[in-house]
Order: sequence, then structure tokens, then C-alpha cells
Amino acid sequence: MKKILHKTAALVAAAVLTVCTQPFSAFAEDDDELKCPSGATVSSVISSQKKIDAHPYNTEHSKTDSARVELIFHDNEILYTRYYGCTNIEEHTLADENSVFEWGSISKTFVWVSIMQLWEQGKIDLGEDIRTYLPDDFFRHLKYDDPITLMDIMNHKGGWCEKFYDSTSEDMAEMPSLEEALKNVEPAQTYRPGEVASYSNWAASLAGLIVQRVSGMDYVDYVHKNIFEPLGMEHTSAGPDFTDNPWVREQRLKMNCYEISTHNNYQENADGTTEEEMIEEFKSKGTCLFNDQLYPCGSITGTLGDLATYAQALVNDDHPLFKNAETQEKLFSGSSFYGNTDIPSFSYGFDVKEYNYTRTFGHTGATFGCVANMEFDPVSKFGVVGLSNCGDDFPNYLCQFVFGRLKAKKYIGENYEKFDLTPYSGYYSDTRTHAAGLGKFILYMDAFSIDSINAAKVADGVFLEYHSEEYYDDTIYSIVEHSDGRHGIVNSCSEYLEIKHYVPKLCLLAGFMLCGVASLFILLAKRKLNKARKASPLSFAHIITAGQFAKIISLAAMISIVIFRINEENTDGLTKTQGMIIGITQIICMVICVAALLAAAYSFITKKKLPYGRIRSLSCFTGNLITVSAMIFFEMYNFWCC
Amino acid sequence: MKKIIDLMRVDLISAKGRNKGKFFLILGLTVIFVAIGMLSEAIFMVFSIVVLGVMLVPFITMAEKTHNAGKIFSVIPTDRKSIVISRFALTTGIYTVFSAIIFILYLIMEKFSDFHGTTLSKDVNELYEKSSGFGTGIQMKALENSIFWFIFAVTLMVMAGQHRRYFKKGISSKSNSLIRSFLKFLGGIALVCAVSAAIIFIFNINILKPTFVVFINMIFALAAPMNGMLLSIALIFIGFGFTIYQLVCSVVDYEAREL
Repeated sequence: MKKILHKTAALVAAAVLTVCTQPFSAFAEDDDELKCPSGATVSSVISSQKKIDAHPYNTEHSKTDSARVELIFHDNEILYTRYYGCTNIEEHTLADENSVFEWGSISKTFVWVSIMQLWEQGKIDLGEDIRTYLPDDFFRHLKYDDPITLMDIMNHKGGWCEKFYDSTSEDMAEMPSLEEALKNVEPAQTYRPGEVASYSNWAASLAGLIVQRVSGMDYVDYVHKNIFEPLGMEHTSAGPDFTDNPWVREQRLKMNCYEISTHNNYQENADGTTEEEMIEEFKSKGTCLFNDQLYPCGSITGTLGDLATYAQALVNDDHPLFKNAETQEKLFSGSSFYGNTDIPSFSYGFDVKEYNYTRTFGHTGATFGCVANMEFDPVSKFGVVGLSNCGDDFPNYLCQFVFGRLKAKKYIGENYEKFDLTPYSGYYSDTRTHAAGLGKFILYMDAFSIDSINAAKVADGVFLEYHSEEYYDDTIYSIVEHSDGRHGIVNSCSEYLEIKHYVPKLCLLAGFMLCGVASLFILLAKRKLNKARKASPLSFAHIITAGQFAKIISLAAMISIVIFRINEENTDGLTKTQGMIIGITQIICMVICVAALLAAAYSFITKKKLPYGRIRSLSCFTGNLITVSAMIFFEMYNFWCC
Repeated sequence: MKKIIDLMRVDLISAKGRNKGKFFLILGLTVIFVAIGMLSEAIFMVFSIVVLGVMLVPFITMAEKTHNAGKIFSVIPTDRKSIVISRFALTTGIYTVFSAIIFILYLIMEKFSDFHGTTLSKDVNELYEKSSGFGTGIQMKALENSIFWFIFAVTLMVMAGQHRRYFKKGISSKSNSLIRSFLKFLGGIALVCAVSAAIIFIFNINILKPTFVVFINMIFALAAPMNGMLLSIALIFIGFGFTIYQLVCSVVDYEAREL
């Protein structure tokens, strides 16, 4: 973080220096001179960036930092390109125009462009149920019979939460077909289609499969033929393991990915005093290569130049990717809006950002090793693209110079009206979090209250999360009410959904955990009593003891889900085997707890004369009841649909 | 039940008769921390319950000459189990009631924080009262409440441990002194910190991260609702659970011990 702050400080210092050292004539701007949406002239932005590049801090650190490459374009013209840092610090390989990076979720926009191409050819109806385009009985975990349209999928409103299981392959030989891969990791459908926004990688890949089936071509071939080739994007790969472009593979193998790690360093000054400073280093994560079975949602890899070419095509009046100009216009006309306003929250799969003076479209991306950003304004035709091989160094520094401040203050004015969130008070959770199956408990650990949010009114049911004048990033939200009576707070393609009766549900989860901890104490006490031959067991003591063991194992199994999810490198979830083992363990534990519950009930009824017999039976019964209830409610056994 | 109440009265009378100086020492220290809490940050009051907790058990047991509760047998006819239960009940009861009073006082002081605020206090309050924004569920007030009951639970566990050691081995009056008990407690905290640092240093934090993440996530989720009350209840439950476990062990150990 400090490194980023240093860089930002250097950027700002250089920017100030540039402005202050301009001759006065520079301020008497020529009205005809091209201006960025931020209001700054192109020449001043470029000259300030060049000064930043020449700053001693940057020239020195460019040889030791990870790569961050960025580019500004206007229409067909590349205005400025920065290749900063190394693609491989250990081998001192500097980033250049041949460096390739993973574009992550920017890949999804290729799916959406493909869909729109097929739509304008009349091959796809955006309002048709997607089951029309898929094999019979493709879905196995649908909860709702309502039709799911491509429009729903483009708006991330198919109703699926994020997939639970890993969909990467270590070996390309094991790589299943896209259709098979989608079937293997089909997530639970937890929301009614068309209602709740829930960002889904799986659904985006499903749209890729639809492209494949409708066009009759392999998805990768389709993208090559209809996007890469018309645009001349020769340095980009769309397939898993880069099989479709050996040059990209060769370049990608040369690159390492990094994360920033910090440690303290003590330096002795000349006067004998010691000074402490925070040292930040780029820690190598290796190549971070992965083969994603669901490749349409995030496997595109290529150069900065090719990403710029693609973004330029999307603002080009000649609409090189579409037959009709209307299709391109439609793509950036907004597909979902904040409340009843005309402010788009999302636009046919493209993110929408509101700056003080402009509105941009684009997408961000992140993989295990790279981060990417693409933003453009179809009206002014300015755009910024950036790529980095360090997950902690998001490449969007140039956006502020080109687009201005990422604030939507224009919607609230100087003296803003406070938006009352009291009617919507409660606990909310991100819809992307797992809401079914083994990982359902995670939803309850991620929930938060909206009571302390500063909200400024934009329109009815639409508000801005207002921080302060100095705060850079204000975000627009709209309140929606769903058919089940729950409120949702929508931003872009994400939504925070209200959890009804959150506190009792959280109490159940806490009770489950406490029962596991209490069982440990009880087993230790029992061991002590048994050793002293003072134990006075209840009826079916072995079953009750087994129940106590089961509670501890069940708790450990639940925790192991989080451990597996965090510990595994270059995977994006649990493997099916891990899920099955945990699920079966939970089922066994649940059966034992049910038996212990019955044994405790029997012990309570039989009135066997024992010290504290009734209290012990009752507490044992309650503990098992809480555990079994929690296991059922949080679907801890459900490894097949999550 | 009557027998246990009688045993508690015996303990109280014995302690009252012999430990006046020590009684005022405990009282003085608790009052000092309460006063610090009133003058600066209310959360500092929690130190008063730590002082009372770690000194209470030695205060009761030091009233005896035998260090095995043997004197009680000559006062009223009883059995060893009842003595253990009465001791646990007495100290846990006093400590819990005192903690509840301090917590109420703490809540009152929090309510009137504007009237007792020093510069430090205002800075800290400003930091806490910042808007938390989306996705950050925890409120610092809730975390403070939870910290209070976390310290309560830990001290309760320490007290239960002191009881068990006493009934298992009998402790000399020297090693059972008030100052030694307090220093042992501080030493214990230092040891835990040192061991944690060594584990992090040896094993690398990345290996411990998953467990840490589960732990922190759960703590934050429990601390968020009802101003931290849910987490506090969980912590109190763990504190009392451990005390009951130590009680059972103490009964077994004491009954097995030759007096």
C-alpha cells in the first residue's frame, strides 16, 4: 500500500510540477485544442505523464517493480503509452509492447459482444428462455421454473450465486468440454431469475456455450473469427492454456506474477540514531498459470496494444465489430437502471462508472496473478486501458487524468438531501456469496448492517454513499423490493440482499459452534471422571459420547471449508472430492447427533436416578437439537447442489 | 443448597477476619481503574475486573493456615465436593456481580462520554464514529463491548485454574500471595504473546492465515449484531463452560487428595 502511495505521491508531485512549470501561455488554452472529459487538455495530460515517467523515483523503481502498463487513446489514435516495471523481476525483463497479461473478467465482454453479434444477425433472441439454446435437461439444480433469458444473464440476474467448486484443470489432457465443465460445477439457483443481481462467472461461461451452440463454432474459434481477426488482434489468446496462440503462450511463460509484502527495516543514521522504515517488496507468486475449464469468463490473455485495439473498436463510429451502428449504440445504452432514473447501473454486460463530468463503460479483470482495467467513453471516444502482473497494483492511475474524479456529485448538488435508510434497516449480504449448500454459512458470516451509512438522495429509492468532499470514490445504489418482500441494494451488477431474521439465524450458527466447543469440555471432564471411576453415565452413554465427538468433527469440517478455499493456490473453490468428503462427514455426524438426541430424550424420560441426571439429559438434548437444526438449516450436508 | 450457602458464609467470615489490609489493596486497585475509566476511556474500567478476578481466589484461600480447606471441616460437618462447589460459586458469584456492575457503569460512562472526554478520548471517539460503509459490518462500540466480556471470560478461566491448582496440590501462602498471583497473570499474558510470536516467526503467517480468517470472520459476524451482545454471550458461555469443567476436575482431584 505504501508503495502505491509513494507512486501516487510521485505522480501527484510530478503533475503539480508540470502544471506549475508551464509557461503562462499554456493556460491560455486554445479552444480548438482537444480536451479530455476531465477538462484537462490532452497535451497537458501527456506532458505531465511524461514528466512522471522521467521522475527519478519512477526511472529507478521501474527496474525493480512489477509491471504496470497503461495506455490512453482517443478514437483511433493512441495518445500515450506507459510501460512501467518488469514482467519478470528476477530476470530483469522489462515490460514492453510484447508483454502479455491475463485480462481476467474483461474476457466476459467478448462473450457479450459475441451475443450481440448473433442478436443482430437474428440468430439469438435476448428475451427468449436460454433453455431453447441448450441441450435438454442441461440444468440439474434449477429452483425456479421461470424462464431465464440472455438479458438476465447479461445483467447477472440468472439467479445463480457464485460457483462453489473449483473449475481449473492442472492438466490440459483432463480438460473437459465447456458443456461438461459447466454441468460439473453448476451452482445452486438461489434467486428468482430476473430479480436479484448476482455476479456469476458460471453464467457468463454459459453464455459462451450458447454462442458456441448458436454459431455452430467452437467458442474460441468464434472469437478469433469474429473479433480478433477483424480487428487484427494477433497477440491475444482466448483459449485455455493458450492453445490457440503459441506466441502468447511463449510470452506468458516468461512472466511471473507478484504480490506486495511489507516488512520493517532499521537504518542507522550518521548521528548514531536509528530510523525505522517500511520496506515493501514484490514477492513472486511464480507464473500463476491456470487452465480454466470455464474459459469464456476469464481466459483471454494478450498485449496492452491488443486490449486498446479492442476498446477502440467499441468506440469507433465505423462499428467494426457489428454490422449495424445501432447494435453498438444499444450496447452502451444501459440494460438496467438505478430506480426510475435514466442512470444506467449496468449495460449489456459492461460496467458503468459515473464521473463528475462523464460516464464511462468497460470492465475490470482479476486472475490469480494479473489485474486489468478497460474504461472508455463512447461519446468523447477517450479511453484508458491498463494491465498489471501484481494483484495489489490495480492499473487505473490514468483514469483520473482522463476522466476526472470518480464522484457522482452532479446528481446530489452542493447541499445534498440526506436519504433515510431507516425503512430498509437490517442486515444485508452480498448476493455473490454462497447462499446454498456446504458454504451457506459463509453468507451469515459476511452479513453487515446498513445503519451507519451516510446516504445522500439522488432520486426516489436511489442514493449515493457519500463519504466526504475529499473521498475519491462515491457509489450510487438503488433500493429494490423483491417478490419475496426482501429489500435489495443494487450497485452495478452486484446486490446486497436483505437477510430476514438474521440475528436468530446467526444465533443458531453461534449455538452450533458453541456446542462444538462445549462438547470438547464435556469430553475432557468425562475422561477425568472415568479415570477417577466417578462417572455416572446416562442411558445410552456411548451414543451420547459419540454425539459429542460428532459435534466437534462437524465443527472442524465446517471450518475446513474455509481453510481449503483459502489455502489452495490457483484454484477457485473446493474440489468435488473435498466437497463430497466434507458433505458425507457432515451426514454421518448428523445421524449420530440425531441418535444422541433420541438417547438424551430417553434418558430424560426414564428418570434414572443420577446426580444432576435431568439437567445433563436436558442439556445434552438441547445441544444435539441445536447442532442438528443448524446442520439442516445451513445445509452443511448438501455437497451436490452448492 | 443450605450447606453450600453456609460454607460460603464460613469463607467470607474467615477472609474478613484475617485479610483487612489485602481487602483494601484490592478495593484500592479496582477503584483506581474505575476512576481511570471515568476520566479517560470507559473501556479502561475492564482492568478493575481483572484485578478483582485474579486476586479474589488467593484472598479467600489465604485466610487458611492449612492451604487445603481443612479448617472448614472443624467448623461445620461437610464433604469435599460441597467445599469445592461453594468456593467456585462464591468467587464466581462475587466476580460476576462485580463485573455486571462495572459493565453497567461502563455503559453509563459511554452514554455520557461527551462529559468526560479528554483530548485522547475525543480523537478515539472520532475514529470510532466514522461511517463504516458497505461491507464492513463491525462497529467499534460493538467490538469494545465484546472486549469487555472477552476479558471477563479470560479472567474467569484464570480464576477457575487457580481454584483447581489449590484443590489439586494446595498452594503455599508464599506462592499464593496477591502480588504473585497478579504477576503470574501478567507473565501468562506475556508468555502467550511470546509463543504466538514464535509460532508466527517459525511457521510463517501464511500457513496460519486460514484458521485466522475463520476465527476473525466469525468473531466479526458475532460482534456485529446487537452492539456485540451476541459475541459477548458466546464468550460468557465459554468462560462459564470452562469454569464448570475445572469445577468437575477440582472435585475429582480434591477427593483423590490425601489431606
